Amino acid sequence: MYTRQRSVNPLLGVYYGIFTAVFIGLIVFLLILEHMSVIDEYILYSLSGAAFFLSVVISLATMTNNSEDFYVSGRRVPSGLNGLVLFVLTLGGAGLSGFTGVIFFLGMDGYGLLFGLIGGLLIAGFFLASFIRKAGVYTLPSFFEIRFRSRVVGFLAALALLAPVVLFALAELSFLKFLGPLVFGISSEFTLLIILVLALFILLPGGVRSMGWAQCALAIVVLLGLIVPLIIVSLKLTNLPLAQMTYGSLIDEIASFQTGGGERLSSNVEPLQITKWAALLNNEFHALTVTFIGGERALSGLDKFIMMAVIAFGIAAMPSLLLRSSMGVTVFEARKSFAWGVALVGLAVLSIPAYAIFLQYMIFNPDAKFLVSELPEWLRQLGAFGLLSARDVNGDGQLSGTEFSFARDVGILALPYVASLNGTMQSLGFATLMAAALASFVGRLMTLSKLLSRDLHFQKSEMEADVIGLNNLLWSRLMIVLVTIGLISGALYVEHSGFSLFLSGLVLCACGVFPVLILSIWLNRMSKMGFVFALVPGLAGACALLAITNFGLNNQVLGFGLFEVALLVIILSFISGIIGSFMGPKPNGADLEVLLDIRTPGGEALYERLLRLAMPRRPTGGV
Amino acid sequence: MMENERFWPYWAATKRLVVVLALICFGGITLGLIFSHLLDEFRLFGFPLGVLLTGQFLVLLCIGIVFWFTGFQDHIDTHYGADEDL
Repeated sequence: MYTRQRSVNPLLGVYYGIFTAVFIGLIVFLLILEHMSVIDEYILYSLSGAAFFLSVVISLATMTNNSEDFYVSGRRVPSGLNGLVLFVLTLGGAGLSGFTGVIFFLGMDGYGLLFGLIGGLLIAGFFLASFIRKAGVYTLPSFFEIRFRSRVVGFLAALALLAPVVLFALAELSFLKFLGPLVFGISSEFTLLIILVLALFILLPGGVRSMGWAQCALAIVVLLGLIVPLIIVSLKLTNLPLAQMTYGSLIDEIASFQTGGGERLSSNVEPLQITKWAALLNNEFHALTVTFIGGERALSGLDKFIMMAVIAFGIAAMPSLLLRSSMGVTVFEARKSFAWGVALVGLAVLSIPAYAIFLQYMIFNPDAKFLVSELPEWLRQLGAFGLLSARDVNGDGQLSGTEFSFARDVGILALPYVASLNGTMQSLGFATLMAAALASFVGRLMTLSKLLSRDLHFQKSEMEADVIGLNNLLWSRLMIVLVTIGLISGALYVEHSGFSLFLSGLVLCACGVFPVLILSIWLNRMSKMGFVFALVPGLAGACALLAITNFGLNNQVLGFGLFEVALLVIILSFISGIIGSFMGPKPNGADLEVLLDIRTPGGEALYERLLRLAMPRRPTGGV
Repeated sequence: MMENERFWPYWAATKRLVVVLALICFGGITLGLIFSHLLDEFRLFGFPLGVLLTGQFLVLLCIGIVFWFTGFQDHIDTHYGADEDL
């Protein structure tokens, strides 16, 4: 039988252990310097700068000119580290900040979105990852090309994937454009220029290899930044460091603020409803009108379920995420990568509500009287950042309840300020979001570059190019530069919030890509005609939906919500694909053989075998 | 690649496993999302029960199931001779 040994670097754990220790050491060092009042001016951007610098160093240290390393990291990424990358790609900066904001505003109603993240990784792990790994492809279109043995199908898939990948990339850029000026006090144009330089430094040395190892480092920063401030605030509020397990005791107290001595949160403002929750997709200010549990809710149980389903399908079909399964050593490792992804995203899902609850507890606690005459420093700072606004509407000389208005991205950024943590922790909050956004952006950028350099050029198919040794890497690196410049230029004109673009990308993936992916693997009868029948209505429906709703901002289509219509489009796409498959000719023996090969974990990866067989044979000698 | 007569039983076992596990995970999530508010009147470890079950227990259940799946699917692969030869 065919065997191929790929050894994982046994020192990887040590390297990332050292990275983590260095970063924690830096945090402690900054705390000491801050205590001595040495570096107050630079403290806010020190941790973001350090995270970026270290990730660039890692990228430069992993430079490669080997094609397999450049496109699939040599298929030597251990599952734990792959899970870290999946974690940061699933959330991204725009998602992490946006989901925290949704939970802050909607409480338990926002859990539909959070479970969409976990559900998406579960679907990918159960139904897709191992088969993508067995196919051994470098891009998702080439998976379809191999599955249906058709260059046209691969080309169509590449065209279909362009829009969602561009939306995901623009989502992160839009978020960075908003965040950069907050952190560094520089213009959004200069922020994008910095991101351009960083992205090129991370991607050009080694493509997916340098990107993946840099993403792991950035994901560690995100995890630390997500957990450390929570532990400190949890200790302050509950005397226990396990924030994920302690916030429950505060939910009742927050509810008592509304019914007891405190200001009733929703006394004079209309609560958010399903038709209006999309207002959260804007970067506008909103008063908190829905309590975490109980009372009048913004969404029904069915709304939450539909939301969860669409987000889950979108996450499962996200190309940059699915392709991480190709980086694992084996099919088993690919499955395990997604298990680690679920675990880490699960940790984020456990932590995000704690951010919302702690913030609500500190701001709406009637014991903390915010007198207009002596407002705390954090109110001024968050106001200057454009995250919070407060006005004494009833003229009683103090601020409370709906007199506070919040930006959606208030969650992670505001907690260290409201809890009066020091500058280092505030810097860590910014570094968390910047690192998540950069890691996610380079992931989308690489996917887009691969789509354009390998799937959408008209000269050769991907495999033909690899066989004749066409200088793929030079072409790919050139495409990375062009795509980066193109996206950064485009981002200058984007007005939509990062979160709205992120959700739009998910809707496109869910409607356009998810049905064809599932049917291609799980339906024996699936044919090229079925592929077209599933792809076209799904993609066209999703594009029309996003155009009508202006990327989700007007959450109404003929009286139905965005996600409700999206789910209908997905179902329609599935039905259409099945009908198309049964209308066309039955797949022949060779088609079925490819399908069975993809479904069998053992043996050589399909793409590698096809490449080996297509290689010109060397003369075997003889007389 | 596996022979046809060994492949189909393997594929049936794989399908059964992923469908059952997906039903458990998504059934639990759906029930949690739709009915958790009914349990919020009860308290456990200081948490409203609905929040505890949905926001904590379900997340941990999904994590546990997906790790168990990787192990058990590998066992199925080996049992039917579809395992990897690395």
